[in-house]
Amino acid sequence: MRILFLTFSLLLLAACGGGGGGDTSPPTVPPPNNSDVTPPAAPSITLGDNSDGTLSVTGSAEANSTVDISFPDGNSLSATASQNGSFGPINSLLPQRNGDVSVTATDSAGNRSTPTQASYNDNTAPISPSQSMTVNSNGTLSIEGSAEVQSTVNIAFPDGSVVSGTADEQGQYGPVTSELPQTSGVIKVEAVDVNANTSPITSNNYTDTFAPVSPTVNVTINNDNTISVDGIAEVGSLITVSFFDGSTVTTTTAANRLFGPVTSAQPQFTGEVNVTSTDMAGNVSNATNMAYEIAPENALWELVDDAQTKDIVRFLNQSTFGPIEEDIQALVATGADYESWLERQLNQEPTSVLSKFEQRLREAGLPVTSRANLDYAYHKQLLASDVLWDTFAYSDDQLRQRVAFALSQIFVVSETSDTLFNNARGVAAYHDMLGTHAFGNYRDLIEAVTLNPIMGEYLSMLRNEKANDEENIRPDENYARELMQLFSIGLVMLNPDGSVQRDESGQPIPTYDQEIIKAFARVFTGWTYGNANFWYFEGWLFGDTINSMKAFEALHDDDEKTLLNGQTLPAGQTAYEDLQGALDNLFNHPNVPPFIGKQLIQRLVTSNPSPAYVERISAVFSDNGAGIRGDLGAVIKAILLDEEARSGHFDNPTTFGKLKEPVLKFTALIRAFNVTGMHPINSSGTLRPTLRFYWPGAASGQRPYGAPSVFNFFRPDHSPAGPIRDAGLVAPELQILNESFITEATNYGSATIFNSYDFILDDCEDRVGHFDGFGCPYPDFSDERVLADNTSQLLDRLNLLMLAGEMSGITEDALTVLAEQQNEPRFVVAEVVHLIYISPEFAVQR
Amino acid sequence: MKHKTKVQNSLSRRDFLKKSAIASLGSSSLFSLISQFNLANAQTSGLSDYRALVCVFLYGGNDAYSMLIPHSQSEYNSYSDTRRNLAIPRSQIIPVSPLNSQPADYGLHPELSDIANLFGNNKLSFVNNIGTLIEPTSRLDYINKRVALPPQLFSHNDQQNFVMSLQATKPQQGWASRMAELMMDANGTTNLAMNISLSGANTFQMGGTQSPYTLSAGGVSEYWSIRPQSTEAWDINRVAAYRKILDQDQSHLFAQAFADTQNRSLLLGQEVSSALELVSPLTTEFDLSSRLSASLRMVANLIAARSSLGMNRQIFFVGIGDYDTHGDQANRYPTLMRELNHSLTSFYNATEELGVADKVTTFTASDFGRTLTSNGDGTDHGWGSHQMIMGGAVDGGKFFGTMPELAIGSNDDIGEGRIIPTTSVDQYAASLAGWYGLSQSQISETFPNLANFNAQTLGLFT
Repeated sequence: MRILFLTFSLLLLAACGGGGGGDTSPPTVPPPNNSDVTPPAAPSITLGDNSDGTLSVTGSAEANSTVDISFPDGNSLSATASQNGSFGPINSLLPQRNGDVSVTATDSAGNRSTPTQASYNDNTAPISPSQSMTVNSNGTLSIEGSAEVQSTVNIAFPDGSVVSGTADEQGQYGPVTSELPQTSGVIKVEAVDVNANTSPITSNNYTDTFAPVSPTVNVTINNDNTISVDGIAEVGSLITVSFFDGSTVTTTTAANRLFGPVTSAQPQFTGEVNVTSTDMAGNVSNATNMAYEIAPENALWELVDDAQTKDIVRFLNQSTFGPIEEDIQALVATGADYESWLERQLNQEPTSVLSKFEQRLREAGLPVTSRANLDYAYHKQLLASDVLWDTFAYSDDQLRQRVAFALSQIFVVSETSDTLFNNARGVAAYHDMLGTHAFGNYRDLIEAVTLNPIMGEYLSMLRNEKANDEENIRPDENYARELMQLFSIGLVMLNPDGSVQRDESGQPIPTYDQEIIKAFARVFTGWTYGNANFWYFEGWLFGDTINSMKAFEALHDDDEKTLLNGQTLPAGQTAYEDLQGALDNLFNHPNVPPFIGKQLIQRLVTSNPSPAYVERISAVFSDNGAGIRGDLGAVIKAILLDEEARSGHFDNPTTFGKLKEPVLKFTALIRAFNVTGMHPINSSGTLRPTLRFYWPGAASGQRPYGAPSVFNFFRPDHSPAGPIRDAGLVAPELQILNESFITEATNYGSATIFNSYDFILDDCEDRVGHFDGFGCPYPDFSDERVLADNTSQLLDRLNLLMLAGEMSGITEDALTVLAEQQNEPRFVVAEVVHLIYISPEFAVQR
Repeated sequence: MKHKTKVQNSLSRRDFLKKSAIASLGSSSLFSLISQFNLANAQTSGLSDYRALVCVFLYGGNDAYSMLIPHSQSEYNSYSDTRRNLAIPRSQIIPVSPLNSQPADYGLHPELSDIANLFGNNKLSFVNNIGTLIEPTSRLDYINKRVALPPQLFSHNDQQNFVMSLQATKPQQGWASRMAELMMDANGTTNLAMNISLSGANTFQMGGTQSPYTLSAGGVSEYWSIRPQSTEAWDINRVAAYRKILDQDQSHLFAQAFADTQNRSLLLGQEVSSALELVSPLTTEFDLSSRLSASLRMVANLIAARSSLGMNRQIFFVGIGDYDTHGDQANRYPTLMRELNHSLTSFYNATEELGVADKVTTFTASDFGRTLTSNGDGTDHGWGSHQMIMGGAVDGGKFFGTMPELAIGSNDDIGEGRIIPTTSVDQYAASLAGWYGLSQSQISETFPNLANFNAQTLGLFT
């Protein structure tokens, strides 16, 4: 509509201008009809303003004479004076500006009077300008349109700013652009002519759907370690400042675009602030993230005897893939505010291992989705492993990843089985699924696990069909059995404190029997790949290994089934209805809270939690305080904040904690010393750092997603003979501590540490390709080397960082001697870190 | 294993981490507590002969009904009626002729041609329908719950643990571990355990005072950074410091367990690799792309090194996975059988090459058998199963025990073709233990369930 209007205006102006400019053809006059040679008297005229800006001319002249009126715009009109000599009012066709009006009278003989001239002073307001708007990519607005020729056009933008333009000889103005991005509001345009007559205002509403630009932000660290933030953003927008402790403060941008300073209520620690601008239309800018660093009050080595700091290191051992100086100092700065740390971690976006893996595949020039070339299966598995290690080591969602890793050892799928050959992408997606549900509800988790096609392949629920008497086929019991035995309730009835319920004769009471297994096996019939269009669809190359399986009702056993506690699923239900009913049946079994809760404690905190600790976690599992069962986020939080997690090592100093599993030992090394990997050359010829711990993991007995069977790398009840068994304790991770694995774990750790000698690296860099080699991981010991001259400070730093301040006097003495036998910082540091890394003290997370 | 070579190569550029060459036995270096005196004496103390048991554990539950199959037409029909889409075609079965007459003819899986030859040459026998039992059990006993049963039938880890320990209650100690304790003196004074695992932790060899020594199919891994033999200052200083750290008493039980394992590994790794270096390479070919085959080759090498190691009795454990064929069995099972066929055959040939064929007895074991019925493309957890026993001392070419009726609803079936064992693992184990050298009283002590069965041993040996 606006364009049509504009076009019309332009045409009008063009026509008008054309007439005005061609003032050459005289008005047509009748031929003389007599011999009168006396020109008429000059006409008398009166000028009048019309409200539309046209000029009216009224007057008198010789009767019946032809009156020619020339207007200030150059156009002429003719009229004929009446019998009594009056003429007019004659209105100009167009609005007139200042100028002369010239009128002549010509009688019938063709005699023309002298012209009567009158000066016209335009007192009429211009007509309302037209306006047409363009939204620019930076959020500013441009206005153009038509207005009275040579008038000044004033445009008032929604932010109140006024920008002016001038209409040209064709009456065209603009585009006139606002200085700043605009929010919703009214755009007002007026034209002011040279006599300062002002047109009525043209108003147009502007609805801002344009996100404001990200604010410009300044961060000031105050003396009390509070953070002040000020900056520049869209006028009138709401500024939201999110501080690193999770608190937020809002303010509004003034007319001069400035906001702030706003100051955090609490002292902050090193991190970043996120600032967004929300304009009045509700559009939100991208966040501006400003990292800042608060110099810690103490160097790490100075804190080695500080009880709170030592617990912070313990906490980070329990909740991440290994303590790093930055995290330790951040928690020191807040006085060990674990709650807010946990809140932030619980809300941290999950890393997508699948996306990172696909990116890596593209870089490596491998097909992303196609599995047709089996030669790539191993390469893909290797690259997926690289991505997983990188995620464990360096992702921001440390707690989520740590819990996902724990879940991967409960809900086990393993690439060591032929069933998952050539499925690296599906396994990556399986890990993401565990990460997504890590803080969600356990009920959702077991449904996602159950319907996952990788689990479907691994435990053969995929393409499990109902009994077929003709073929003598009955449902596959595999998934039903392991879901119950390993993923939910276990073999024997448990008390909420994790202890086993026994009958009168002292025998454990079984949770289920073979009949129950058969019933659950019938529940899990009828499922296959989500993209299968028929039941015998060959999925091994083309099956959708990412999205949930789908049901073929014809292959589902829809007869009645009797599950745990005598609960029945009625006949005639769909596959999904049966599945939901069966998972609900398991979910509500009293074993689930202690069975899953205790294993999570074991994976994160200690192999031998007290019954009271297990019971407290079971209670949270059963009810998160808001009446919700199965809230894993609440369970994880409760596990890490439990008094026993925080102080169990004081009460049971010789047994509390756990042997660090191989993966966690490697990641602790990687994180503490910012280990980075070799830079294999990509297909594009560029280099990308890669942490390749596929082989170290496998050789040490623990390659993620490479367990020997669904029974994981080790069992939660493994109790090695000797003092540990004699004390009635379990030590699951000791199941994979044997001569072979301990040697390889020692070797790969030491190789990493001694790679800190720079001259080795050139050697690796040339030779390592995508799919070959350990990848020459090497640590950054710069923070340690500066302390090399002061053995005691160096050892204090390493003691805190690696041993949570629990280094024995004998170890300290031995390391002191060793350090002083070396003469170069790089040797001192590598030697000392090496022996701490392979020490019995480092082997245990207390 | 290219990765490892590469790291070693890069490390070797540094003087201080170059590959350690162990010049001689009996070094007096820090970690080598064993003296040459002990090694020499080991051969004159204990027993004078050598015997070894090699357990090949088929993790997951071997579907032995696809391994040893009825061949007589009527028995085959009964089997194939039950098995349907998973039945091996009769024409592909390799017939075998046991020396002891059987009510029907049987044959082997088509991939087991070399095993069939070993059977035909009387170097291998089958023990039929063997499984975990506390006492003899009939179908009615089972249905009416009138006999004691092993805990958690059909659960992998529970059944593995029971097969390996023959104990119903935890904590369990493996029967190899119990045998080793009873035969402790056989090997004289040595640090090396009687039990050696090529497959990590296993209940069979664990639970006693001495842990099995564990190494991989590739042999003993060498320490790259802790080298007690080195005379370079780097190494001497580092080893001295580590010695102090490792030898201090750890208050934490787990830290002490780590220190013990590391110490044992440092000590034994040196001893065992030294002994292995003295062994002449085997000429028998093994397919090293198979972990089972490579592990058995390492067992053969260790047996070859028995004198240097001072060993008179040894029990080896080799586990191999993926036998849990719930799905895609028709494709997966032949691969498993092919590997089993060439691995066991190579190993037997190696024992011949070493001249110890009659001193080494290899036997298979597994979690359980599998259901006779199909779940569509695989089989589920069952109970009774068949096992193989191989070696020069074995009474070969025979079937021991009783063949079950392979039909649904028979007296051997508790449902879906889960077959009740007619021979217990206790009887099997006791037979092996008797050959190994345990006395009758030691056997009774080691296998407490044995008293529940009439036949104490199965007469598996000549």
